[in-house]
Amino acid sequence: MNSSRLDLHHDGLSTAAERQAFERELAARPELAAELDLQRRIDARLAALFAAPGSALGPGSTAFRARFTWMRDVSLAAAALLLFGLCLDRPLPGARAADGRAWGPWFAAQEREADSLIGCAVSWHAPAVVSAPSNGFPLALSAGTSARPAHDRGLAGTSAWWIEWPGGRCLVLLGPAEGTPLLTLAPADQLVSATRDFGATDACSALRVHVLARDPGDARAALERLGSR
Amino acid sequence: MQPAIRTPTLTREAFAAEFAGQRPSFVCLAAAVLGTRQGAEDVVQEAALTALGKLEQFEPGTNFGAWMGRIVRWTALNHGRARTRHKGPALVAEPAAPTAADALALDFDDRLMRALATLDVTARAALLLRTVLELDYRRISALLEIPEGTAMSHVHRSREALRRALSTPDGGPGRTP
Repeated sequence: MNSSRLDLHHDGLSTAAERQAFERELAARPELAAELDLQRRIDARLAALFAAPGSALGPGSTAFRARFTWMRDVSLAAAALLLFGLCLDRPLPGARAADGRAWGPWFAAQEREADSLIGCAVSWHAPAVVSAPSNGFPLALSAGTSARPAHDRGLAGTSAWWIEWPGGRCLVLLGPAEGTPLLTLAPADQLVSATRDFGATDACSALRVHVLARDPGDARAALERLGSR
Repeated sequence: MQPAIRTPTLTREAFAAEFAGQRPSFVCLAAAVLGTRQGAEDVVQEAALTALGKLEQFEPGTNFGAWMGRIVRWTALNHGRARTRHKGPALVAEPAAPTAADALALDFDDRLMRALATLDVTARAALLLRTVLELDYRRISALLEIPEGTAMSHVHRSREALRRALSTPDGGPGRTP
């Protein structure tokens, strides 16, 4: 069997005449049909293994289109909005302050899920400032950070929520002290397992933590306070 | 003589719009380089921040996907190297959800991931972009900065290699998960 013909058929790139000829051959040669089945199975597994978590991305084109469900659209739009807000160097709509309280509608729905996370603290190394626009919404990114579970030390007064971030679903930790604007964002896929089992040091060590604060100095100070607890 | 001041050729707003539109491709590309879906979004996020700091390096009239794809590949390669140093090769099947944890399916996945690991990075990326995102070959060639025919050839050869690897007596096409 000429495998490029199989691929052309599989890709939908063959002409009508080629397709008819191929289908006749499929009917006549079971081994060719088996090879095509195997290819479809491989595609399905690759799609399942490499598709975005939580998406409906599946093996076939129908499932692929299904990923554009309203939920997917909403999360993508939220991610785009968040990044767009950062790019515009101005606070995000509804995020008049970086302390996260104005994000209430966003977070409220997720709060119950985050309850189990309250008390989970992580430590950071000194953050590097990635951008510090002058509008009161600077972004500080902790560079080369590592994090470790520190639930035994806890963070009194800390609140946490899940949100969607361009990098995926994230944990947001709100700084414990009044007047300490702090949002920490961490990739959730590792953290989910970390929070299920606080002993999962490996998972936590892979965290990359982002800090949003009004002022880079505030961010550093808040991080140092958190890290030293 | 005063040094010329280069103005950004890609505004942050334009970057945000382009990035959001092509983000699934970048995540898939990162996953292909890493060899696993895990950590791919993290890589893309980091690549986006890197790109934001290098907007003046984007040449107007060139393909945004190619430029950003290059940054994603570099970032993913760095992550992959760091991961290999610390934990060994990443190309193993990720744990499936317990509900789907059928033994035969896991066996198939393991062998699939092993076969995938034998492909070179560009071939793997071309295959995954085609299979997972169903990108056309023109977009794949732009993202990977290779000719369209080469992208097609990579996909076809990769498929053939995977079929060959999975058609062995211990789990050929007749086995169902």
